[in-house]
Amino acid sequence: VSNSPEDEGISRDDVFIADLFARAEGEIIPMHPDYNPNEGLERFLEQLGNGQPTVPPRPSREVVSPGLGGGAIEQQVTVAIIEDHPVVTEEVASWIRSDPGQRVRLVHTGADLTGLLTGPRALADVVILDLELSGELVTAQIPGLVAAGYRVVAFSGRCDPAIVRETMDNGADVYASKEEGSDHLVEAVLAVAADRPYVTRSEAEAILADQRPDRPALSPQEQQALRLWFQGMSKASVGRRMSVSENTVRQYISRARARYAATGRTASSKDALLAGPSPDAPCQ
Amino acid sequence: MAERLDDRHRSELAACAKCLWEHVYAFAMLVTCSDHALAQDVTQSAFAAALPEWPRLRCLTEPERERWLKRVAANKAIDEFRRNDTAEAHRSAVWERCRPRETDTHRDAMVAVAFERFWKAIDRLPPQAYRAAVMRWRLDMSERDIASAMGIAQKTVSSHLSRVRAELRVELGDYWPIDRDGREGGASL
Repeated sequence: VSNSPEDEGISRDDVFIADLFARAEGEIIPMHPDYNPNEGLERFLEQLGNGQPTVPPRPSREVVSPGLGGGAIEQQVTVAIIEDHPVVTEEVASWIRSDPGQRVRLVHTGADLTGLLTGPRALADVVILDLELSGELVTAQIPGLVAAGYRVVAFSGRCDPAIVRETMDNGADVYASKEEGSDHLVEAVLAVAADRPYVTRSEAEAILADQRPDRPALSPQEQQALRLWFQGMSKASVGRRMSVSENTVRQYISRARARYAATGRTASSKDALLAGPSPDAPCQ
Repeated sequence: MAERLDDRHRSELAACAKCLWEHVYAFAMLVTCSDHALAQDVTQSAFAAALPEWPRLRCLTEPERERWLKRVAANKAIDEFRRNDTAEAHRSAVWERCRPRETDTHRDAMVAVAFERFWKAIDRLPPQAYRAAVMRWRLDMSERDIASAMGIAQKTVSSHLSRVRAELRVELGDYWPIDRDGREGGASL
């Protein structure tokens, strides 16, 4: 990266504005008389006296700038894990922690839904939900979570296509089997948080196995793309087989999933799902 | 002996923190769009990071230490802006250019009314435009680096910056000291 003003195209306007910003740095504390600039200093000095100072926790998503042209800062996607097996919770948490970009932040764990539905607003952007809590299926609870503002990534050891469809019908954004979790869970969380569709092979299987008379109608291309992909082909290979581009394959698969989403999703998310293909849909 | 040395370093760092905390916090406030909580956090993180580095930092001058602390604080803030990890690759190059701007006659000549108009325009920017502006004009980052750090297209960054420039020209009016041909002009500051 070049540093020279000529290469960077730095004009006199730029220098002038930079001077104004430099001045702003000197003025900014007096502009906020309600804030104590040294609020953290005493805490730091105390920690310094007691031992190694600790780095403060990352600020919450709800932190909103009160002014000066600022606003809420783009932050990590927040996630809650509802799972009644602590070992699984820890495993999912470890996938989140090992994300190199640290794009997801775990803010809540629980063995049931109690903590998620009692507050005035959603605790997290996305809920990773074990479908079987204390031996009972909780698919019927998904509409309540959606209504409370959560996006739902169902995560289950159950692979029965009927349960997958029921989960999708109830408004879950993604169904991931526990075998698919380590590869796809973080990406699925990020996709649904951004209202992007994300299709797993479990969902493809459930759609292909659907024999209900009122099932959504898929086009022949959508069915073929889903079938080939579910059989283990990469989307690129499916594209070559069907003589279409890989991106078109993504569209076929996402549209097929969106037809199912249309039965149980809220309008805004449904629109988002129908809007376009998923760039992050899992494929080999 | 080692313990006494460590105590001495902690004492020196405490004195440094008392002296520079507000400067680093003010810088963090500017970078974080006046997000007080985040500014306090990144300031504390910067001073916490200074302890293991203190054997080296204690040999620097105070302005050099301030520059180091601001660099660490802004790294933490940029982590919050970042939507992907592409900024990591550019970070070292970015921070070679991040240093306190020296006082010069131009800055000294700024009058209060011009600054107020400037801040009025900055204050109403949407968050993304504000962050692009502060990265460009306070952190000296290139448009390409800003695009990487924010995870947006470089054209979008250019668009934000052009808009900010245009709004500042309008807002400052006669207090804009440079005419459109790049010559000194307008009202005398």
